[in-house]
Amino acid sequence: MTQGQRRFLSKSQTEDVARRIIGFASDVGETAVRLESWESGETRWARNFTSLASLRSNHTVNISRSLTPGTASFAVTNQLDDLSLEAAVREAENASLRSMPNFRDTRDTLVTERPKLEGYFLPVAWSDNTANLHPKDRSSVVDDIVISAEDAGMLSAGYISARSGSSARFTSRKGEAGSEAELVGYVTHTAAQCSLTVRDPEGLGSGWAGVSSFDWARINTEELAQRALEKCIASRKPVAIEPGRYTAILEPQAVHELIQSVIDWLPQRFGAEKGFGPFSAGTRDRPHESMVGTKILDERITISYDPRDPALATPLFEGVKPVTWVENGVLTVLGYDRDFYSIPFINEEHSTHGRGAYRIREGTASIKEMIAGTSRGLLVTRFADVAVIGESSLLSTGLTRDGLWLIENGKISTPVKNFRFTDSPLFAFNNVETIGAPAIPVFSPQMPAVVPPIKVKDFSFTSLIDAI
Amino acid sequence: MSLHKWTRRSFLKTGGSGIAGMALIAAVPQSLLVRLGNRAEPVPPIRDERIKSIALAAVETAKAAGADYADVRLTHSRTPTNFLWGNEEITIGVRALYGGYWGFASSPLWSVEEARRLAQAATNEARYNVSRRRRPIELAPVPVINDGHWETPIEIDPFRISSNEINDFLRGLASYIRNTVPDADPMVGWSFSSQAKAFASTEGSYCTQRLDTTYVSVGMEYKASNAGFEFPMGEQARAGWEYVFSQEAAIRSDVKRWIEVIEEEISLPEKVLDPGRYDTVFDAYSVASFIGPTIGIATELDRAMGYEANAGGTSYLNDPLEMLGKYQIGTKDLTVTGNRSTLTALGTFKWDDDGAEPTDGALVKDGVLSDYITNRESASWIKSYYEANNMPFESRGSSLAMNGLHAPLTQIPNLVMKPSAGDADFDSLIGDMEKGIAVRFGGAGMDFQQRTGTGGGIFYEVRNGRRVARVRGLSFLFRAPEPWKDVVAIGGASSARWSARTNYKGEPKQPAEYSISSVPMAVRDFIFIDPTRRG
Repeated sequence: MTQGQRRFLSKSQTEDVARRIIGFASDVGETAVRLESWESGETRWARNFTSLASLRSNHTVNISRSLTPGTASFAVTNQLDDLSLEAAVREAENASLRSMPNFRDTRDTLVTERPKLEGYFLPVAWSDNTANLHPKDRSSVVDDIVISAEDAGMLSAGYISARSGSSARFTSRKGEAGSEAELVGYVTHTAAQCSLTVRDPEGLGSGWAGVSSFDWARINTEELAQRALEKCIASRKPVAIEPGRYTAILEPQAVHELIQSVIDWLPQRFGAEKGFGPFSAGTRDRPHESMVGTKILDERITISYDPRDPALATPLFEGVKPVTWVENGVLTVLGYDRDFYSIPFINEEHSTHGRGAYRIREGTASIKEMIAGTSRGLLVTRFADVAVIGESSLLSTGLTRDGLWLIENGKISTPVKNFRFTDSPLFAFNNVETIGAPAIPVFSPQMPAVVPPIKVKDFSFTSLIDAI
Repeated sequence: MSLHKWTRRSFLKTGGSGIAGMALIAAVPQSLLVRLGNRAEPVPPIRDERIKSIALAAVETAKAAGADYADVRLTHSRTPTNFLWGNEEITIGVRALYGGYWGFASSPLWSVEEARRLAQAATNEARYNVSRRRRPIELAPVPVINDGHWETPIEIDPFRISSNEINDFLRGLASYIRNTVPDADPMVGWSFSSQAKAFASTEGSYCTQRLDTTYVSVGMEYKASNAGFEFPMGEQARAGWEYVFSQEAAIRSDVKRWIEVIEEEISLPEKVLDPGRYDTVFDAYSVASFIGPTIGIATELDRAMGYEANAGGTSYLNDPLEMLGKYQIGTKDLTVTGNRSTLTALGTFKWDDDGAEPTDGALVKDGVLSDYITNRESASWIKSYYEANNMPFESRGSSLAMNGLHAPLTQIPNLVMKPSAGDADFDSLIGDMEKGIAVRFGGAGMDFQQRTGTGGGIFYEVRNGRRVARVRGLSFLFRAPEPWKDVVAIGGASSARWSARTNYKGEPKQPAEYSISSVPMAVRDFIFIDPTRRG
């Protein structure tokens, strides 16, 4: 199927929609249009049978009207005919009138004075492998995944999705004949994911594996199925051990889930300089200081983003430069979000840099080697339900899930019951014993990430949980 | 209905000229357009015959394509709010069963041609999965619905009144708060949602519904003794704007009640208690936070059987046929009923998205697990239990999709906890306690089997029947179903409160709103920990 046959909007179709919307808007104020359009093929399975196979599509037309400077209101519709679009424009204007004064649009759509960033790299996040994944292919993949679990007497549950779509942004521009639609950006994108959980029929063990990518061909479903099965079998009949501080070997997925709160704050320089978040160094005397230039993590940790890295492909409307957020543990830069507040500060050094996609530089030790070098510790598959309970320290709590093992004298000795943890990525990743290898793409459907395993000391497991 | 906890962002602050500066405008967004005939026109009422024609075209096409069963939902959803945006959409989704496998296809287009295309696509999606082997499936029987229609009973359609009238009303409440508590910063907000939907199945059922929900939140931020307090006073109900009028007196009295809370907060000393076990009294809101996960989510049969294993998780009630009728969840005083009939509760409707009419019934009766939350397919998984106990083999009617774009999932109904015969309430339960902790506005976060929970709230030390100090720095920790087994007293009917809840499940995730009616309870030896302690 070519892009022209797809059920999402082409560039010319989005231009037509935006032109009509801006034509319907009154000449007062500014108009911004966000168009999201997608189709998605999905298969869900459980207990070794497909439970639902679906093919869905939708459009979202988000119209923002700013009738007076500094205010904006939105209306959202999924219809593309003239009268529906005009009704949505009127609704946005009505909403604007009933909204509170002094609200400022914090989105990028009304930013007309955005700098043109020349010479930057525009990532490509489109894959025909994803867009052309036929329902039969999904069915076949699930069959193969399920068979390995079934043959082992286990139960497999999981989810595959392959989505393709387009995003477009427009703003109004005053021309001689009135307002015209100015294209901010149009981009097509694909996103694929596969994750699965294999459980013992008696509920005695559970294993998980998953990965996401823009490119279905980069997802090795056979390897995922094998990994989840092995984890399930190895995790059966866990024993309870005392909560406390343990050396923990965090597999890449666990590292990703723990460090996510750090990544979330990296584009928020404005907040840091206003005194918010973990990277504010503000004091009464120097309230507008951030922690840029300060060592925040172990000196072996380097976190970067490169728009040319296909493993980090994420759709953006404009090119960005490669960035090293954290180099050898030192916070080298914070990004400004492209929002209304930050716009006076945006320059080439302070754009959003991929909006959250990241890679952590790998070390050399394999997980097997890290285990061999551990006298007593825990091997963690992944965390679930991680929540930050302290904004400035990023103190977090969450659960281990789908595979936790005790390591004794350089070997895995037994599966253990899950724990709730209470720790901060800023503590844990300042207490690193080993950075492992390889760094691999993890399951992160919102933003891609490539992460190595990391062995940390004295990680705080605070209470037992009985869930398997 | 009772308090619903609102986040700060839910509120429109009216400390300044927020509402006062508004122009005369209509709240009602104009309808979307659909092309049901030769020209585009406003979305007609859901009972329009042309909508039925689209629905029937879908199920007839699926049947002709070989589907063993098929159904279709067309939804028209509207959600204006005072908070900047309005949202309106139409969707259609067709579900087909072929060889035991479900296929689904959906889009934003209402037309006969699109319905036929989706029906074919849904049937194909199902058919592609049959290659390996047939999947045994049985759907619980349902009576055929002949052109049924049901609407949330509303007196004042919020979409038909001016936002000016709404804002005048809320401005009055904001003024009342300011006049009553000069230091208070009032916060008000509103939104409505309305979903009209049509359902048809190959079994000959056709029905339409309109489900309306009104949200109004009224709260205040109060600064005293260098401490800020935010208190929610709001309602969220399946009702029209008249519900807000009916709650005005309660909201106004809530302001006074919150002043009492604030005064109590200010007057009590702060105290740090050691982590450990304490006899504990929970208010009704806190009890709802236990009922939702440990009885509501845990009795979703699809979850218990592993259908959510790769998403939100499973359930500690994971062996249904062994546990039903035997498993002791709590004391004999504990009875919790699944309910889709309380008119103002958020989980109420006439027919679910399988076309089944829900039946109210106990999930936990006299402390024993007595049923699960089911749809037509999952009811068959516990058919032998129903037959052995002379219970009808039928769906509990809990199949629900957020709109036509999504396939239905099994979702939690309203949950009603049976009060005790007496008139005990939060204060009287505290009065009966010699030493322990009282918890207001508790909230629990659960693990992925709804087994181990931890949470917080406003904690008080209790001595000799009185709250004597505010307790800082503790969280509670429990393991389901132990709290229900350690209950020593529960509140009477007059202490029952409704709470609004939202459950998320599935891949992709779908939300479903429901309400819980709960009463305060006293529990012995509840565990409290220091949540910030690193091991």
